[in-house]
Amino acid sequence: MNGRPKYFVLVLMLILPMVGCSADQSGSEDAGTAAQKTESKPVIAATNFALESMAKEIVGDIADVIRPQVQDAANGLNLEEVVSMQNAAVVLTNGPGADDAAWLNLISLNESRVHATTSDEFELEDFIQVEDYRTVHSHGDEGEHSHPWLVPHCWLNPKLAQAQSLSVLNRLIEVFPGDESFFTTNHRSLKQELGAVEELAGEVAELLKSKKIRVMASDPRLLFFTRSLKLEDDYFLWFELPEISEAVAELKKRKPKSQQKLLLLWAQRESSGSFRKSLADSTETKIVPVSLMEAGSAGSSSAREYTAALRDNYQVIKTAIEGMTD
Amino acid sequence: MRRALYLAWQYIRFHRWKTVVMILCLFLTAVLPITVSRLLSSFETGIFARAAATPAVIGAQGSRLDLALQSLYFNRKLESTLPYSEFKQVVEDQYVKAIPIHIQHAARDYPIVATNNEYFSFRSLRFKEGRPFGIIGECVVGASVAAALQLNLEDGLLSDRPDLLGLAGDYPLKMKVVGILEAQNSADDGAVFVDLKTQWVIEGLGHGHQDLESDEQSENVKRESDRIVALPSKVVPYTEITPENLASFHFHGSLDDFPVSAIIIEAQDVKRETIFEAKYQNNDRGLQFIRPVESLETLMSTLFKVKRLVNVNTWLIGVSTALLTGLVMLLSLKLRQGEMETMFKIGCERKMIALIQLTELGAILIIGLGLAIACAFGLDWFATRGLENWIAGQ
Repeated sequence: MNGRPKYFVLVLMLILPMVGCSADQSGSEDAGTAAQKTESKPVIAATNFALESMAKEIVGDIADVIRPQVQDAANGLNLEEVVSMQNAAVVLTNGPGADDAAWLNLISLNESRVHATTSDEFELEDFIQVEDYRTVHSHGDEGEHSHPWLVPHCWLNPKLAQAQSLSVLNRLIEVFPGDESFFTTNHRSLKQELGAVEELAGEVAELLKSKKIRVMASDPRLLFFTRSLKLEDDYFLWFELPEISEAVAELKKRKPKSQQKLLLLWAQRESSGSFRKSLADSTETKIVPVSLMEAGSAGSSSAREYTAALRDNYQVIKTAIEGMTD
Repeated sequence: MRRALYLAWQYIRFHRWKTVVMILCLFLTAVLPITVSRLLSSFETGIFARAAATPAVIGAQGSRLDLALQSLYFNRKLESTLPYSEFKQVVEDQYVKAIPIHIQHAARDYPIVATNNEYFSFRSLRFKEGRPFGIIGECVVGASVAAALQLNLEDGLLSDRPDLLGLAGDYPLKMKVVGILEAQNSADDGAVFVDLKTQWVIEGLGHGHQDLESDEQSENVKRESDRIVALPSKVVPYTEITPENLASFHFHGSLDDFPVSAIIIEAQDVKRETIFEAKYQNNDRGLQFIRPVESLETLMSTLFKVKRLVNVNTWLIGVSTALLTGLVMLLSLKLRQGEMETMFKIGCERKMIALIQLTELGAILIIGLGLAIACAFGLDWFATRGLENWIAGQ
């Protein structure tokens, strides 16, 4: 009788490790790990359409890329979107010099997760500040002062977009080092696409030069785009639709006296079609709408939509130039 | 043995007052040194545990101890600060986790700790209710603050005015409570946590504007011929960030220049920490790198001197008590010699007589010392519950 507990312990010692090594157990562990992996798919947040698209193309299915609509013109800040941003592994922003989301200063984000994509790869001269469009402050004893407006639309320039995409890639590798080769391969493909768009921009620039067409922009938001066409800054300040008579007068005033053709790049906005037509008819100017790409099309999930939209911007100008008779 | 125990128990019962006096003597002699030793040990463990969980801190040059105490216990307002750009530089180092701490104001006398949401995971703080702060103007309160001020989610909490007489002083901010932390028995229980930007609004570095011409403001203003004047009775004596005015809030100047009191640093490993420390040695930016453990060791060395004195005293009292107890026992034996002789004559072995007396002595020692130890642990339990908050309050 006294010997029985010893045998019992011995049997337990033999059985327990075998139970631990059973196939069922390891199978359920694998399933558990897989389920956990699916559940814990990382989230990457981007503050604009271009960054969202670039991130999607680089990470593929490894992470979910979101673009929270934090600021709603009608309802102020959307707290649910703020929380989704707070939970993201990385928050991609344009950053200082091309700040695309002023509301970032109003929400609480862990700075270590925020990545300013224009900080590392941009040169100082890449940023654009508009001296004749200034933001004026009046506060405190020091009285009024103003700052030149910094244009945030750097994504309209394919060369800068390549620099931005490299910054995005570097940050993503930093956060997910295990996926470096996958990201690098995807980035190479994105860079090729952007390179092709840059080549197209070069073609359009050559065409403009050879046809001696003067190009003006409806407002400074298009400056990154016009600079990508190697054009001098030449713009109106039509952020809002002006009165048609004022616009006609201003355009006529600045229209070249010679027979040089004029192409007006129009920052695309809703319900400006009739205005554009009237302006074009009154001033015999070719007006080409250019997408600012501030937002993607509704429900879009395509990673390549940004490069496609960027290409369209150049293509539409190329077609317009080709249609302009001598 | 059972018989010895029975006889010893009967003796103790019969001479209960003598026994009580002896137990009291032992208790009173032992309770003070054991309690002091226990409290100091808990204090040491508690203070060093928090310091050890805070590997390094960067701050403006000045008192190292003040910097350590502020970043650990939020109990010092540092006059010198470092610019936010310094924090952003640290954040860019991928091998280092950095958490900002900025303390300048209080809310109902509880320190307002401006930081970011990473602080909660860094200190393993859990939410009893609510969520981390999401936008400026929101706050998360520690368990003690919530209990003392009877705060619930969505309640308002006003920041204190640092100078009641300063007409141009900081305007109080009415913060919205969006989270309540679980009690941690640490300095975090007695703090109000906000985002750095909320603190900068309290400091007057950022503000919002009201559109006095809007319909919503029509009851609060008086329209004169060429101007709009806010009615004094409608002017609230604090700022409140609401969904309606949130978008109008902005900061003047570059955020990079805005103040931060300290940066808590957690490097990936010792090597990275040492490399990081080297960056801040003899820098010309007026910054210093400290390890809170080292700073607190300086403070604790003074306390340890007191502890050593208490230890020596304990030994001396212990020895004198042991001698006195021995003497009492010897005298007692002398007095009970006749009783022992009788027991021997009726057949009790000398070994049994010795066992009875040892049992009596053992019972007195166990009860006396046991009471002293229980008392020390009880006091320690009560003391440590509020100890960290007490430190924070100093």
